[in-house]
Amino acid sequence: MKKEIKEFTRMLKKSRQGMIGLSMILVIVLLGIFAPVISPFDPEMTNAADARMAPCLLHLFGTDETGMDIFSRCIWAIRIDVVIGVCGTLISLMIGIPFGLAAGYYEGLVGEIILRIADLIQAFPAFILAMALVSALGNSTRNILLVVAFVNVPIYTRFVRGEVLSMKSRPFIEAGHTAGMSPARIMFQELLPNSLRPALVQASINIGGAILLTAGLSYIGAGVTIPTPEWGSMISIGAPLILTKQWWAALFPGLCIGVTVFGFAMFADFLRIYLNPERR
Amino acid sequence: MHEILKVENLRVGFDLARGRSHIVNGLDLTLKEGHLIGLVGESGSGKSVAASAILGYVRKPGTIEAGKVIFDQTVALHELGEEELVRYRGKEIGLIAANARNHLNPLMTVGEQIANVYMAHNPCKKKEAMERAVEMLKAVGLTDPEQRARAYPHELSGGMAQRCMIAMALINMPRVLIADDATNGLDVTVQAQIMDLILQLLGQRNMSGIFITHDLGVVAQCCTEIAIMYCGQIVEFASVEQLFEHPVHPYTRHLLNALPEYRDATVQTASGEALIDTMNLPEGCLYHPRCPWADKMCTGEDPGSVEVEPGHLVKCCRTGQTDGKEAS
Repeated sequence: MKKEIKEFTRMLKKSRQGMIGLSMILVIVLLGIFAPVISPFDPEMTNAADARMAPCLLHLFGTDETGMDIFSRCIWAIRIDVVIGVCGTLISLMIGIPFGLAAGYYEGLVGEIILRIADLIQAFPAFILAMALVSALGNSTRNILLVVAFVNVPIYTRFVRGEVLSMKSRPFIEAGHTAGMSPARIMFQELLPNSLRPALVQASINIGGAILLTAGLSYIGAGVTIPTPEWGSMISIGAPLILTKQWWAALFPGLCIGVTVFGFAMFADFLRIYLNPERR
Repeated sequence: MHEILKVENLRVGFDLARGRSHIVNGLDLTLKEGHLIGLVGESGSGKSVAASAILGYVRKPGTIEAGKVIFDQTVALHELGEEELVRYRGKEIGLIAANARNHLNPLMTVGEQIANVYMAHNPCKKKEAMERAVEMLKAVGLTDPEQRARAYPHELSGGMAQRCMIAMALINMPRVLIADDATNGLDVTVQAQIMDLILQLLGQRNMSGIFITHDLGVVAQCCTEIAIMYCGQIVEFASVEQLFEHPVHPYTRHLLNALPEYRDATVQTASGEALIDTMNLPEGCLYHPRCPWADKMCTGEDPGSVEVEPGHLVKCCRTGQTDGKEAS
């Protein structure tokens, strides 16, 4: 474990993407954790007198139509968007990996059934399906989290299945068979660890996508409801104001999404190299 | 003498899109305890497929059609199901594969991999298995085994990777070791070291072995018997002395003739297509399309094995008639 941490920091120091990505993620996470301390205003407090104020020292990112401080809201929104993005992806991974492993190892009936269920979920565009499910379940934060996790499960199932299929015929798996390893051992000691790393890389890339999905749902009003601070819904209230030259209400939450997704993408790129021992 | 491994009429084929490819066509082999058989044959003669088929494992789309594999005179491996077979694979019969690096998991340290193979047969804690793995790496002559155990396969040289494979095959102390071209791709000095190492370990642990190779020289040096394989059959089986002094099967003689020190200009060279079509095997003797002595007899029935002298088996319809260097 100690050696792993040492190796991780050594690799991180060498990688510019890794450093940038990780520091961006750290800053975002810290901002989210310390939101009550950092944000100058209550994110849900309206103030008609200060409505539509341009960015200034008091309201760093300006205020929106109802006078809510956009800076405070952007910071509080981390608690919704990043948490849904990261936790949603982790849940999809935890469900997707075992199914993918089973579908790859048992190519017959079991594999077919799993694949057809995955087809069923993927037959709908992820966004439309998520929208329908959230409307059906009711748009609480928990439901959005579960829906974001659910629509991404087939991605990991297919991905892991592909990894397992390509690995199954590789000589080192055959060596495992001829060395007397039982199918369960082959599955959990060889196939699982080997497909786990690429799946993790895939997941770290997809976190950005999950955040975008959350924001997108909220943008069209199917996600987190106003006044709960959330980037997508903030853009949706801010967008009409652009017509009256009040650009800040939509721009800053948009930038937050962009920066966060970029940070995760950079870190994912580093992970892709770090998790492959042959490239270290 | 105690027969530790007996293979009878082993047949393996692969279902390909164009038809069924017959790779192992009735292989018979008997390994006596403490003996070392050198299994020699050209590329594609089914040596490696036969090796893993003995362990009941053939990669898809291959299937074992027929054959008996008797271990230790009592255990019929061919009758066992997958669950029982895994208890014999690696534990009683170890396999060292050719091309070590491909047979090592690239994402796992070699120590872990060896430990996993140990744990597959000996229920124990990971830590204990790792200690055994390190001991084994030491036994196969790796310097600084603790450090090596933590290396990934790509960090090892070809020779070191091969030693790791040997460690993996021997960690469960199998009674039979099948070394499938264990020195393939290594340079000559390393080859000699690896062979010496395997022989030394076999001797120490009182194991029997089958060495699969193209190299008659290696076989002559270290084996007790030689089996010449052609097209998935053993065409000649004899002790090393018998085979080199009195080769009988035309294929054996052609093989020996390819060695400069055994070159005999008067032996007729093989003719016909060098590659046999494994989809449509020739009738009768499988070697007859290439054999200069072949006649009508050879295209008829399958030649059975004939014992020309004690312990010297030959599969040729015209045994005893091909001694004359002239084709009849």
